[in-house]
Amino acid sequence: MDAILHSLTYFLDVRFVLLCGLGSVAGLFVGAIPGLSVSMATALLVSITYTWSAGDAMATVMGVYVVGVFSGALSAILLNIPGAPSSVVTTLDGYPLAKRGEAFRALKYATVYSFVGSVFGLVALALLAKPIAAIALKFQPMDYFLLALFGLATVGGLTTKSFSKGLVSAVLGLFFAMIGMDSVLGTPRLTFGIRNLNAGVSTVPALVGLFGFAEVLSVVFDGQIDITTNSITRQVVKMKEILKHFWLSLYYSLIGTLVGALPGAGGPVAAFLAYSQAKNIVKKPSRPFGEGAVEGIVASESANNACIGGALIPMLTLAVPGDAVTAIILSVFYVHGLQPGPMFLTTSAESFYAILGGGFIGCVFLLLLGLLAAPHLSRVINVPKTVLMPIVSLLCVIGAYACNNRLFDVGLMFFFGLLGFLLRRRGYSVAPMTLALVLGGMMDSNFRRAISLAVTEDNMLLAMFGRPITMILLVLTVVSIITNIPAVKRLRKGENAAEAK
Amino acid sequence: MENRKKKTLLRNGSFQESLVVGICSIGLLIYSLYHHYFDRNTSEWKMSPYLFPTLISVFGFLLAISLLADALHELRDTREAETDAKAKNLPGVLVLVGASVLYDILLPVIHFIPATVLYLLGLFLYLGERKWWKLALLSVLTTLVVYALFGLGLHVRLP
Amino acid sequence: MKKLIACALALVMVLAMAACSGSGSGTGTTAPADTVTTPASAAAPAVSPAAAASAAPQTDYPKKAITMIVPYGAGGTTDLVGRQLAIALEKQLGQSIVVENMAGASGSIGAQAALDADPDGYTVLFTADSLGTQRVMGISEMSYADFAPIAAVANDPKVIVVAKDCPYGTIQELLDGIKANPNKIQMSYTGPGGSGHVQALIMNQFGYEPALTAYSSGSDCLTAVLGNQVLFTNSNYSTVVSYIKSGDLKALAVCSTQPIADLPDVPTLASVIPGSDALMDIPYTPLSLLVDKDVPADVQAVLSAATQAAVQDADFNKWMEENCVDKLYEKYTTVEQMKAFYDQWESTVSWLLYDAGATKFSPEEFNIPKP
Repeated sequence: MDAILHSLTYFLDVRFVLLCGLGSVAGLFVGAIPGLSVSMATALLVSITYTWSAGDAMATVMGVYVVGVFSGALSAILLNIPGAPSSVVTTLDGYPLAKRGEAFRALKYATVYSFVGSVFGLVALALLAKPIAAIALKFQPMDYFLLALFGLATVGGLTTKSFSKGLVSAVLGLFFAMIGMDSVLGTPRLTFGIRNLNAGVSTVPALVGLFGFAEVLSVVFDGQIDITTNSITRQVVKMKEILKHFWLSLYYSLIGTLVGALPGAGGPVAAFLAYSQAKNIVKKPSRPFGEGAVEGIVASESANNACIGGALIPMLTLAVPGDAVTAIILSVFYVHGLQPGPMFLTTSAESFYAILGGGFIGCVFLLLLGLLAAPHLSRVINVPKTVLMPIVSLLCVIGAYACNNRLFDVGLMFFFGLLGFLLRRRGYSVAPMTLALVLGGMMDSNFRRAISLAVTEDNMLLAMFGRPITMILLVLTVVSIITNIPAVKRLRKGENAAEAK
Repeated sequence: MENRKKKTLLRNGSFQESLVVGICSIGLLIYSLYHHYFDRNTSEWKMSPYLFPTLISVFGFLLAISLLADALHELRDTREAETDAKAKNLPGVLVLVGASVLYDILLPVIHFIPATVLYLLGLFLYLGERKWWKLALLSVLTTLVVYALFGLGLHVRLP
Repeated sequence: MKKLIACALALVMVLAMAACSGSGSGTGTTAPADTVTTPASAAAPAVSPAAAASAAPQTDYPKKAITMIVPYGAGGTTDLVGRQLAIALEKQLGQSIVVENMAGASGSIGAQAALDADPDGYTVLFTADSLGTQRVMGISEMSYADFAPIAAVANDPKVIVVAKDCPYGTIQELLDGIKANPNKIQMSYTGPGGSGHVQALIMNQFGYEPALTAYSSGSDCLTAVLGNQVLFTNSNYSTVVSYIKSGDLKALAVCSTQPIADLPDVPTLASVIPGSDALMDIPYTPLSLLVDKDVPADVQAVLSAATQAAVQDADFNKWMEENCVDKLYEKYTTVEQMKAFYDQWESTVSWLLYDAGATKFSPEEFNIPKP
């Protein structure tokens, strides 16, 4: 509690608030523009804030981080192009809503619940950092592998009508994730002798291609280019109506914080898990899931923003970053002479409060910017497609190039654009592929680690699966796969039908 | 018209996909196993980089079988399967991809601003914008705004 | 309403901008992506460029900003030492040094970029040890021989750590345990060819065989120990120092012949494994400043002279001492000594790895002599 009170004093520090505001505005831009990622922006900040004081740097970085994670939802809802992998789930319901002319509503829900999620995560960070870090330490390599597998299995069932198709997409993503330098041995793998592939398939070009460029191709292919989208119905969305989902969103936020605290899993997994929970819990969504259910946006946005607080926990207490952004924030710390680790919360309490303060101020800016910008941004959808599509494809090229400064990545982006386009025509969803691409490397190294740790034990199976967390995850994964197998589903449906008769 | 086509296994989408997935995963399996056994630079099999790709290929093969089951099920299904919308504007897609690849090639040669103006001009024109002033304004303005915002404002390196 | 919002936003941005420049940090806004520039004027050169260049008056180098490529991610030991050195070197050269992180593929991507750049001395490389093993590991065709050494700067000492509730209280107990249960005691390391692996191989040579499991980074190795996945690891001191201070981890030994000043009670591995002195004496994670070997000799001379002066910089020395990093620049001062050191390093490590079956190619293929 002390920590929260301390951090709230930063609201009185004008300079701190202004820097955080500047970071927030920057975060809004980079998060919302497809191809510019939050991790890129924070990487930039490492160099810009090099000569600043640690407090100033924390304020700016937290502003970018909190608002940047949220604003990925803006392009996800308006253009069907998620700004980052963790916003992929938001496209599932956000874009259909926008197509119905209810972009404003979707944006408002996203803003409010991103705020709720962020605050929840930060409060958890302030109060429960040590216990949550202790839980995270209990996760062994096999658990990480199973968690990722469970995530992929759920996604396979969530995003397309056919479970096999969802999983095929995931397997493709895993395959692409395997390309490049092997993270454990440091040798090239599956590069087929192409030197440029040694660095692997980066997430940004793949994401921008699969969603952005593929969307442009689909629009051109469908000949929808001349159709201007139905004008926006600027309905009044009452706060009371929005806040109906508040209690559920706390549950999603809890998922987000816990998953965020597991290094390597992060935002996308949290969002997918929360979404699948929402699908199970909410029996009567406003619209069916996948066709514009605000409940889906609530789940995805509160979970992925709650990840912020979660991801900071292992970073601060163990110096192990939870995701790409915290990895860079970690280097901001080192540059300013701060040493995250077990002593950090006690020896550098002031910096810890600064981070929390920056986070909370960032949340306020998130709410302000989100609510103020939403009505204006939702007009993007009114821009004629003939103008919008070339600009989107230009942004795709720039985004793909900017992440590594390599023209090769632009080529990769085109490849993924075409692939995404073909898959969509065939009724495959690209969301599982994105998740698999993000998780692939971590699954691979943890799988091998688990085996390497187990072979030296006397009982290999017991060493692999003999712990409670592992068993629970194993059962969850197996159940989620079996119940989704088409044949089993048909069998169950058949039974139900028979009973009904 | 397509609806009346006789349903055959070969024309079924799931079956075609199952074939592709199956062949690819068998290919990956062979490739991975080959490298697993002949390309190893450590004596430890448990740390071999090709262990996980092998597992992926097994998953892939199982999925191919699952898709095949779907295909058979769809064939038995008496209901009319949803027919895929026929290709509508394939040339459009090809033009777009071609233009983008050309842009990619031109970028390092004639630099960011001229290449981008040309690229946008071409696309706007192709997508049916006809008023010349609008064309010029849009493409030049967008390029400059992007250049100012990204290159100068956010320090994104442009090609 | 709309205008009001726009005005408010603009105001926020302007104010924030003003706040930034007020803090003397306006310099950052001119920096390109991923880089750091500190203008020479702000750095207030302690020694004028002419003084540094007096050793080699033939050249007017440096005339413009220098790029320092660090082929690892921001925040690692290599990056931190490199940035500190860059600050000290700027004062000597009177030009700004732009640090650029080009991570990936065991440092080979950044090293390749340094070779691909014009050999004019305006691109320098600050890298860790991986250059010496890339050829035998099959990662790239590069080696130390492709570069000219400017300075061997630092070495991060390695320590053996266990969790606080570990049954083995001393290094002797741990070693006895490993000997009694070969391939049963788990150890985490950062992957074949890395310095942790090399040290494990040295232990093998003396009959100790821990069961190795590879992790992606040094901090992952530590969490594996903290989470009781493995029993011990061999970590860079700078990574592990806060855990030792907090009591979460126990340091059992220093992998060297010299104890660390901060840990006077922790024995060296050389003292408990008799006969290992020669192998333990080599700094296994040398961080060095290099340039392309085609860089003109007079430019190399200017850089060398400036670096020699830079490492004596009071701030730099203080930083090195605070972080308990070995000062290699005191051990190897001339180019001949450095070259001899790299040759010795390359042959010792390459053959160790090869004999353990960890390499892709034999060191013989590259004419690396047996130690």
